[in-house]
Amino acid sequence: MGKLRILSIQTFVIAFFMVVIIGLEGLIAYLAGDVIGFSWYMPLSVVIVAILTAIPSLLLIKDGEGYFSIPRIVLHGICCYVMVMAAGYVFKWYTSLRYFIYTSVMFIIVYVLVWVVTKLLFRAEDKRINSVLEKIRDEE
Amino acid sequence: MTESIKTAVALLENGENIIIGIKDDTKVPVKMNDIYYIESVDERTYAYTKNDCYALRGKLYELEETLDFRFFRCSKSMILNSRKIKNVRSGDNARMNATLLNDEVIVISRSYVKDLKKRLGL
Repeated sequence: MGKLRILSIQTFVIAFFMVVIIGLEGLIAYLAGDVIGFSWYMPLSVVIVAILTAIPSLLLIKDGEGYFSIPRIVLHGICCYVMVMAAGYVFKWYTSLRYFIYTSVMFIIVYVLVWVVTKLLFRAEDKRINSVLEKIRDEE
Repeated sequence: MTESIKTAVALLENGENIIIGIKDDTKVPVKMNDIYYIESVDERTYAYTKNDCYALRGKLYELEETLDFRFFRCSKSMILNSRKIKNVRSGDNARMNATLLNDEVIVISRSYVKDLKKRLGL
């Protein structure tokens, strides 16, 4: 998968899961008898954060022959977390410690889900390539 | 005619594509069908078959021009025979690991994965 393709897929997947989580939050609040409202900039903030948090993936896609190391993944996670929390502060996603923790937990859930989806997409691509290779493979 | 030349002539008469390799200071005709990959190491070029390795004359980019559609560049220093790939698996750094029919694992660089997919019609 090319660099641009990975970035765009990650942006869409991050935005999708953020909307799902916000939607679930709304649903739970509704079922609990609460009413929650969103500011006008909420959809825009989701798009901005999705784009921003996809960018650190460039840390993992190096042009050279380097390896996808654990320190680099940790650095990637920290960069994403800092971006999300900074954006959350600007867009007022949290105004108390409780919501700060809530936003952090949501970040971890979305982060793991995005990696799971990315991994599945890579596997699907491998499968597609292998099915063609199987047809042309020499018999040994 | 030496034995190698006789073999080369026979192979060519049978329509086999061959390349001349050097093994133990002897020129040997190597069937293109048998080549797994061609690699450039320290300014020298080598062709690898299932069990053997032959030195080749010429630079990798020169050989690349003479090879047929089965062969594709998988990294700066290697040309791989797509017919000898058992399977591929996405690896680190958006690269791909190709396991060959002899179970050797070759890394396909990110920039050349696109080329492989194009050749496979994907």
